Amino acid sequence: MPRATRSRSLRLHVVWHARLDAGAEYARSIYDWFRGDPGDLARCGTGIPVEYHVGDADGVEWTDFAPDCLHVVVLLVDDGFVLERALRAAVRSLGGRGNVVLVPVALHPAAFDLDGPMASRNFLRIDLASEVPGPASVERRCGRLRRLLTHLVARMVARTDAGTHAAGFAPFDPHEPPRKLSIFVSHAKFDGRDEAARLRMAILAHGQLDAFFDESDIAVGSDWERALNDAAKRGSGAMLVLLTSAYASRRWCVRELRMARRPQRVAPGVYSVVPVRALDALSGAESPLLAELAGVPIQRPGGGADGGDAVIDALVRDVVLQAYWAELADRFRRAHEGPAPFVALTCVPDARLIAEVFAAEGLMPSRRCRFAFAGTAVAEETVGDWQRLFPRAEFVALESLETGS
Amino acid sequence: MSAAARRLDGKWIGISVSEPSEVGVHGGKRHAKESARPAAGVGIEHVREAIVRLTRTLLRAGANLAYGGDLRPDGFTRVLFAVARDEAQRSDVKWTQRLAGYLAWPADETLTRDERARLIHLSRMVTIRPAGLDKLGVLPAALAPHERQHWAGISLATMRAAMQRGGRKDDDGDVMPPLDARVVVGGKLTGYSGFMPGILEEAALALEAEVPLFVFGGFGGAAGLLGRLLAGEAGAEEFVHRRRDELKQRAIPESDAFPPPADLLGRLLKVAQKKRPWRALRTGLGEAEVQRMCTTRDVSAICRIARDGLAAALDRDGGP
Repeated sequence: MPRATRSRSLRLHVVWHARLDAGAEYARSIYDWFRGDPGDLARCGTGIPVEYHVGDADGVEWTDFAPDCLHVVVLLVDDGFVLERALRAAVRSLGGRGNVVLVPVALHPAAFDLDGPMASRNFLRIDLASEVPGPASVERRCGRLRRLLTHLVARMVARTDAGTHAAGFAPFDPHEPPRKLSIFVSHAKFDGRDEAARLRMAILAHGQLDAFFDESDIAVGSDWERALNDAAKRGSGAMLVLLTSAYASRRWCVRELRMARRPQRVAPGVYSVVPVRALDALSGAESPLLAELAGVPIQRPGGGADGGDAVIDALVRDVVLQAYWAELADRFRRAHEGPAPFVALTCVPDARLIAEVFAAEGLMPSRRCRFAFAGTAVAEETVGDWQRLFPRAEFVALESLETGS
Repeated sequence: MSAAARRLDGKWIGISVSEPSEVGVHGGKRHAKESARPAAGVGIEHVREAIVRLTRTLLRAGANLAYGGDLRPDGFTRVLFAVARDEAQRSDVKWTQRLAGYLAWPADETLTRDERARLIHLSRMVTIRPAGLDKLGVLPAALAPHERQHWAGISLATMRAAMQRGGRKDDDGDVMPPLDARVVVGGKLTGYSGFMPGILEEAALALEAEVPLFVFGGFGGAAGLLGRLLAGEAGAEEFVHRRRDELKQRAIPESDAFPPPADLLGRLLKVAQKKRPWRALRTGLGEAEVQRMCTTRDVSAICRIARDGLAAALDRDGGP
């Protein structure tokens, strides 16, 4: 089978029948998660575009399926969907396009009996037999749908080779499946061993993820570095820091973190870091704040059954978003005109990361350049600080490049 | 931020953004109404994203924003305040009242002293209460529902005209300037509060004042209809029928629908019937660019067109 062409962008579509009451809730859940909840001003509009399509007896009015983009079409298949001939025909018309991936979600047992392009697909199953239908079950289903979809899209980002260009997006080839996304659990053995083992089990329970940490999986030193670097270059690596009281005082922990946060060139002039999130497991003892954690989201595991699942889900989404931003940055780089070089970092930077990108590009701090970064919530004062260190750099958020502001 | 990026410094832009009638909020759950499909690809989240990013873009470009509306919990005014607060916090330039809120009776009664105090550095406030209301000799609370609806309509029409033309005093006693330009997105075509859809009324006032009018119709609603009218895709009949149906549904005789909106309606229809209707918008954009402006759902493109188009149009006109 020929290798699938990798698309330079990604777009999600959610399709449902007009009679599906919860359709818009599922769609909103996907929108808020991938594109950014409009109520969250720091994330609003920064992620992957999501479009809605409501079908009925007149079929569906599709939007433009741009050819240079991979379109993931999520079909919410309930009884209304199954019974609506026009809607089935509209979906059938998408079959055979190389840049369209159909992802049916079974909301009714009859969904599995559909013919056409949906027949050969693996359905996403978000129902538990034991669940009583109602508003609470819709909310839980939304959570499962988000998780399954995030894992699916993450596998479209990851690839089997460690190329030198931004990964792009491709429907994964069942004959050459990409490696699973690897999450490295960075922890201090002194006070985090048990919790790290529990986290590892939680990661493995997600089904589509691999988990490893330095005690049993890889030898300390260069092998570990290579494993993490390779995973980062394939767009399939992420790190979960278990932030215990001893963590900041352990040399190896800090080194692991620094390694993960070292900018990697994913395309000419475009740099990514391994997505990192931290779980707050501080015991109450004093612990210094690590400079390496600047900009890293820290959260507490939710109570009850959560057990760190929320942070794992967010970490997998970070991998997808980084790939999306790398492609976006690469697009701006190619369109960039003028003598000053264009460089980009696909996360919110700090002065150390900026300096590392400058060094990797062979730029002196006094050199003029346009430096693009992901994130919209950086204060002007912070940008002013960077400006003092890199006086001729023009710092601009990727979102501002999109809107021209 | 560089001086070049603040090309709209000191300009007052009227911004009319609300959810189009095709997508709605019902029972706390947002969903597309079955009877009126949303524009392809669009749900309420897309409109909300457009609101956030468009207001942020204009504020970062230095513009002052004027808006008319109430303070309902889930409404646009709240989003505008949230974005403005966020921008004020991230900005290293001191913020002084870069918003102007026009509150028409009875929405003016919803602004508490506590809330006004919290908004003092963000927004000027102008309250509009029609003079005739106090001369009635009855307390507003004693008005029959249809009378209340009638006075609310008059109040909104007065407020929209005052916002466009300037001259009203804010609650500090300072006189408000006229608007330099108007931007419209979405907007209700049914179930609106005045005598005609607010976005259409405000668009007509901008045309009357001969200031640049930017119509982003990609999300449907009143701006969508206006965009289709300008593109010749919708006839004047659709426009008139929709308004007549709505007035009928709300049991408002057309003769009671306050004279100015009727004139404004005529103005819009006159523009729509012109050979090159887009020229009346004074955006400085060519036909193809206007077409893109009227139809795009790409929020980044909307922000770019609004920011660059406004800067070019206002530079050309020399401002107020």
